[in-house]
Amino acid sequence: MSMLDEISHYLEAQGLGTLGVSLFKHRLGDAGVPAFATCLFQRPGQAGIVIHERPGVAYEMPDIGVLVRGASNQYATAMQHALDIHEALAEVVNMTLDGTWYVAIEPVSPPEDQGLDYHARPLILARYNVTKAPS
Amino acid sequence: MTTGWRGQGTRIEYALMASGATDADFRLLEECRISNDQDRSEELDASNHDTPGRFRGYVSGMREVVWNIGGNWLPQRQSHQDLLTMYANGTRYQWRINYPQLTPPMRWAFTATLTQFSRTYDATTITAWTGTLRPASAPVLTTVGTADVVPYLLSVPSTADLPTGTWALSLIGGVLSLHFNASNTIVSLALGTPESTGLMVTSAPTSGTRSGTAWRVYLLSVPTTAGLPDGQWALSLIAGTATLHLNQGSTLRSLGLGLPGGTSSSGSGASALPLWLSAPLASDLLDGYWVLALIGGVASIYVNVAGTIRVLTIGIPG
Repeated sequence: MSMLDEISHYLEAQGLGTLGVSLFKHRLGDAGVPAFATCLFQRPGQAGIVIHERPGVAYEMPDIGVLVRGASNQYATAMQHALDIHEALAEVVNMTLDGTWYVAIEPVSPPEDQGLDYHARPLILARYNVTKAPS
Repeated sequence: MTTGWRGQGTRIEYALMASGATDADFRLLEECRISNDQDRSEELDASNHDTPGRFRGYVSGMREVVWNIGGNWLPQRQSHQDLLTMYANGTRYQWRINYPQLTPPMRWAFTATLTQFSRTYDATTITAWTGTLRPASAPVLTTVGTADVVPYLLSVPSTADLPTGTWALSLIGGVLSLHFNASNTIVSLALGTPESTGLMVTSAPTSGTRSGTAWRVYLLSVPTTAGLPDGQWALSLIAGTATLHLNQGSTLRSLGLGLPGGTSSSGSGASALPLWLSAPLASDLLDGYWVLALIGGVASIYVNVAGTIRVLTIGIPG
């Protein structure tokens, strides 16, 4: 299972979206997708932590981006949703998500206004550093 | 040729005794990621007005030997609790640092006191520890036998190493291979990297005994003794079941390896799966024969050597 699966299941369990309905991975489309929706993106992050006795990466350190989109009149709603996700992800410390050990999900910065898309819908973006065991 | 290498793969081990430790006494220090030895000698200025060229001359003084080690702080692990014991006691313990990634493998061995042991548990970083080892005498770097470090060979065996009719495993360049001495000829079968799914012959297969391309070298039907010379073996994959066939004195013997990815059960003989789930007795195995066992999650090879069962522990898969 990938990191996006694990984190999206966690957010779903926190009541912060429903996969395939209001919570998406990789791509946030237009057709059939509500204006108010959230999408998780995997970002490069850092190289990870290796240890002596085992080959491979002992702890991965990818980044994740969380983009919240609202309807054109939903800036405050979208921002609040991004803040709720921000709080929920920051609480992931020393926790197992879908069987994978997560050392931490650390916010890089609070959610930021990315402006409007071509339908004048507000976009709120936040990024997080993740330290986790390989999935 | 100069060959660079990296430290990953190094095994840092300790024994909770000052001397006399055997292999069984050494324990792996888990999740180390820092290892740095500093061996410095004092410089004594031995210059005088008669020094040639008026260049200052130095002679070596006392050696300052420090080994800094550290890694992820895992207080729930026994090996890290042992660090606390060593630091609290302040006495000498035996250490060794293995380089199994070298060919042949090498090892530092020394007795040292743990003189510094610090932990960090910052809220924003992965917890870590560092320690300082002060060797009580000069660390000794030696070449070690492969059996001391890993239960597989790190180079292709010669017929002198491998008696006729016996086999050995190797792990060379990340590729696991099975070597068999068939009538004073080493036949090698690469089992691939742990992640790979195929099999590959790395030396010429016996004509007519194997089929397929380099990545499909198994038989698709049971071989006959006419197709498989005496003392030779071949793998087959028939209806999804892998089997090892051996021509032993013009009698074909077959050992079912089971379904790739499937489950196995204990048993012996031609029709049973070779993965034992309990330790076999000498009466279960013919002299010179072996079986694999997986007991309590630990894989081992059991061999009947002249009526005595001998065990080679391979370790925990993964």
